[in-house]
Amino acid sequence: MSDLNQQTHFGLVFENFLKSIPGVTGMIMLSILIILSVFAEFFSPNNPYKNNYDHIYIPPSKIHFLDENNNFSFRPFVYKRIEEYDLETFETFYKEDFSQKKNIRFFERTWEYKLFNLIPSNLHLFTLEDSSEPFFLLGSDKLGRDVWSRACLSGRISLTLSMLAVLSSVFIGSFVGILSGFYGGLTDWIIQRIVEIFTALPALPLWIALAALIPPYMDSFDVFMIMIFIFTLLGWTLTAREIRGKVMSFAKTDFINSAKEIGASDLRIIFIHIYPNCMSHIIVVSTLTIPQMILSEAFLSFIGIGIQEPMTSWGFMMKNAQSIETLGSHLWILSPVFFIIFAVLGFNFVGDGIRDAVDPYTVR
Amino acid sequence: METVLEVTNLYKKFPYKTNFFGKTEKYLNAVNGVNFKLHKNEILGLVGESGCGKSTLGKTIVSLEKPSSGNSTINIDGEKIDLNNLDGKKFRKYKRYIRMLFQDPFTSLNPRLPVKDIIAEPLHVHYNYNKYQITEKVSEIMLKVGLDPNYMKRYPHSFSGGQRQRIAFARALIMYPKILVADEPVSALDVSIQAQIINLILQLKKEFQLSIIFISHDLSVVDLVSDRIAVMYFGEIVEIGDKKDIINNPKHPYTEALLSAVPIPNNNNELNNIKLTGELPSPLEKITGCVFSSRCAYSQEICKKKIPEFNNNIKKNHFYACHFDQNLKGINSYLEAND
Amino acid sequence: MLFFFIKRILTSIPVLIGISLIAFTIIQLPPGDYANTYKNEIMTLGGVSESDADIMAQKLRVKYGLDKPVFTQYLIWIKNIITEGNFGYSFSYQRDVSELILERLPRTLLIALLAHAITTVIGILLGIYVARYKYSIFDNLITVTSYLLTSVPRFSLALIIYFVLVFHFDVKEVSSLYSPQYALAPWSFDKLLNLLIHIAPVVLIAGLGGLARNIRVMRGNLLDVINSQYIQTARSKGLKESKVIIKHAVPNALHPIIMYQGMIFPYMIEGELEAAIVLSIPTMAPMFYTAILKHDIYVAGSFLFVYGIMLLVGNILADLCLAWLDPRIST
Repeated sequence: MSDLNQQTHFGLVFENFLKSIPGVTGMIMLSILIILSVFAEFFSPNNPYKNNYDHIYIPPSKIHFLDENNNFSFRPFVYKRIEEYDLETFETFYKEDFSQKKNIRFFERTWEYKLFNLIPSNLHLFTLEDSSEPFFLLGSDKLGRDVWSRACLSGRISLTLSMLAVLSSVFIGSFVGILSGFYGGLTDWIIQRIVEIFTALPALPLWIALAALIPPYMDSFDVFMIMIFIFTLLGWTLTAREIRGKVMSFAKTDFINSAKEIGASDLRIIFIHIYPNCMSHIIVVSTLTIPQMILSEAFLSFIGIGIQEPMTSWGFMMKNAQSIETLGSHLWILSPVFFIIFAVLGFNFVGDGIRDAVDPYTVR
Repeated sequence: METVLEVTNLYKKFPYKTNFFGKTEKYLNAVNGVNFKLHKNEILGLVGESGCGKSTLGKTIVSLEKPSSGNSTINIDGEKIDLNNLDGKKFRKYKRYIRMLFQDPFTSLNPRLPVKDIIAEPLHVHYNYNKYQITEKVSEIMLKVGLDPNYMKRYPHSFSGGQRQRIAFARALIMYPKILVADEPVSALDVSIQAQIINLILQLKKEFQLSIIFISHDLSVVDLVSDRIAVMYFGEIVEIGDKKDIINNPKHPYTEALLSAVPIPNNNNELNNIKLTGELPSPLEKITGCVFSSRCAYSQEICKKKIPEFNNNIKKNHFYACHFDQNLKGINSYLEAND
Repeated sequence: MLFFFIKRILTSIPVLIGISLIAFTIIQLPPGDYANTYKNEIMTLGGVSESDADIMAQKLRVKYGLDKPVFTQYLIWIKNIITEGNFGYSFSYQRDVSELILERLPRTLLIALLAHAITTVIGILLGIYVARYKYSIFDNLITVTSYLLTSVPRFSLALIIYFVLVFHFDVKEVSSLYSPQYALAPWSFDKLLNLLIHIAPVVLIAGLGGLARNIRVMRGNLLDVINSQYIQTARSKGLKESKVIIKHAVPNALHPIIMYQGMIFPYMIEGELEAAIVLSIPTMAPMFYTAILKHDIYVAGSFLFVYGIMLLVGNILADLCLAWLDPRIST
């Protein structure tokens, strides 16, 4: 007999999800970001960990496919750069020397790194054939490091921090929400008051106050953990409220009643009957909260009270843009913002996709 | 006849309004002093209109709700057990003997669990069986309720309404209870499926030697299935007796009205039912006199003042709560159609 | 209705106390106090020896009551607020915090409320429009744009606007509220206009994200309502489509939006905060930030408290609006 194991709920939802364009697009976007972050060194022609004082604040390299005689070449290339000074403003600017072409090569082996901090490798997706020539996709920062490479690397911290923060908020929040919705009565009343106090706190000012507390000499990893804690502190209330509503909507339905009638313990009812029915809701809330975390972390790191050296995040990379002179001369410092937008859009799309897949009432 | 379940003076009130300090000011009286016995191997049909308290009564009997006063005891091997007085292990030990079947087959099954886990739930809660024993027991029970055990890994949404109700039966019967409280088991199903499920109930009763309380608002269904019928109105049982007596010789005006309202197919006559006029009393206040007096066609002064006693002056098993002893054949097309 | 109002206010009081406690505690958490900062400052800038600096710092401590136990300090602070409206003293600015609040709070409120009003009104109108012309090109454009706007971190939006204003439009006074000629001038229509022009970028930044959300929520609600049965009934009555939507659908779709206002307002405050810190606009936000870094506890604590009060008041107002619109809630 075929088809004896019918689709699980998860299978059905996943099938639905694949039908939603934003959902699938978001999935693809997030996968790209995750691959870029995990394999950051592979995608970096330059070593993001090393300072290079020869190449401070170099603008992004111009990549060409057509040369000055309008010949098309499949292999993209770059012209050699000549530094010149503007005699009036003493600003450095760069001109291209059209006589010297430098090709971009793929899958070359140059500087060494360790994949997953374990496997040594030196393979890179693309590099410039002449390694003495500065080659920066998105320019270089004030220590001469490649912005593109650093941005890919920063993805690790920014993404992990937000996801972990959301994970812990949702963990606590869903637990509290289920207790509140299932037991009702006094328990619910007390929990609701506590949630009220927490939601009345202004989030961003509070985060600033808490983050500014972190002593500057603290280890960057500890700072990372504390940031997660700070975000969780206020983040759990949203999940708690949502889950409470969901639980209350089916706590009085018959399948819960029948579990009670059978004599199932409260713990069993919560874990086997209530939790699975909330799971889709929990996942939707999580994916839609991650973007907020990314944005908030970016701001806190930007003003200097978030992620610290030697870790790097997208917001942290833009810290130097705080001064308008720096920003004015070196606009490419802001490029990590595209990564942020990409990530936020990705999570929002995926979240919408899941929500539509789970909710049977949306008309497609 | 051996009594398997006895309900004595059962009251159930729900807090309706609490004042500022949390003390309840008003109660909703759902069940107002119910007495009856359930005999071994019989089906007692409990019939009444929506909101009369029959579901609440059912829930209190299976200990989903605690009674406000009074009790219900079940008779297990000569011992009288009051489930509401037990807790923990002892409660679970005796709870297996009385099971409830819920009304809506669409909401009474957890949509996230495969049917096998749904049916095996009582086994998980009460005993520790291993995987093979569970599969075996689930297969066994599925066959008995008319389901193919090969489908036990499927989810509720792939079954039809009638099949889901069978799943609910399987869950209720897997531990071989002695008493089953079925709360409107066929009300949510199509008429053609209703017939199947009713036949299933009769068959299961024989096979499992069950005693069943069959709650319904549909008198024609209750007529098919019951041995005895109890009529409930506004939280009280107003008449109870053997099926034939109730149908052929109703003594309470409310029973008469119910009987007259059953639509008869292929009847050329118009529906000549007794139309009840008058206001329902408020469920929040204590009722003076007969609970039906405000809508009864035969009510007199005494009805409003004195609560009628439960008489059985006609036949030993036939009780009714009315001050008068009347021949209520009145407008009774149901009766005529079934003569 | 009045009873509901009073009940709401009463339940807010414990929340208010909670906020004040938390605000004060957080400020006190970092080790050391302003006297330390003062000591460091006079040592590095004034060249004072450590032992002398210690003595001066201690004097400062006693003068401002920083040597008392924390809880006593809290009680004194609260007492002063309630009885005198005295929020403490700012060490760095050498002024009463209440003065600072009076100076900065109206600006913050003005910007936040303006942003809120604009995003709500425009958001609702646009939401109605796109719901009406669902799946049209305009709808898709707006959906895409609003998605993008919610995805941009507001501080980078602030930076970009800053950049454009300074380098393309040659604006020199981005960080001020008025052009120099109006700064000390008496109030006039021109001055108001000048103010509005100056705060426009901040309002824009704070508001854009909220605009996007409002549009999406309004669109979603309106679509739900339009598909419901009583709208179909209205249509079958023969009413013109636009009238159907405006008279019947919108009032019902507005209801959740009002509830949503309770969440939009904090979002505006946060947006104002991000933009103001980046652009150094003299509102509460930058002062709050520097106060935290400098350990100016009364400024930081009071400002945090004031933020909390603003949110609380916003929530109460939103609840009241809801109760007024929907009589089911207040009874």
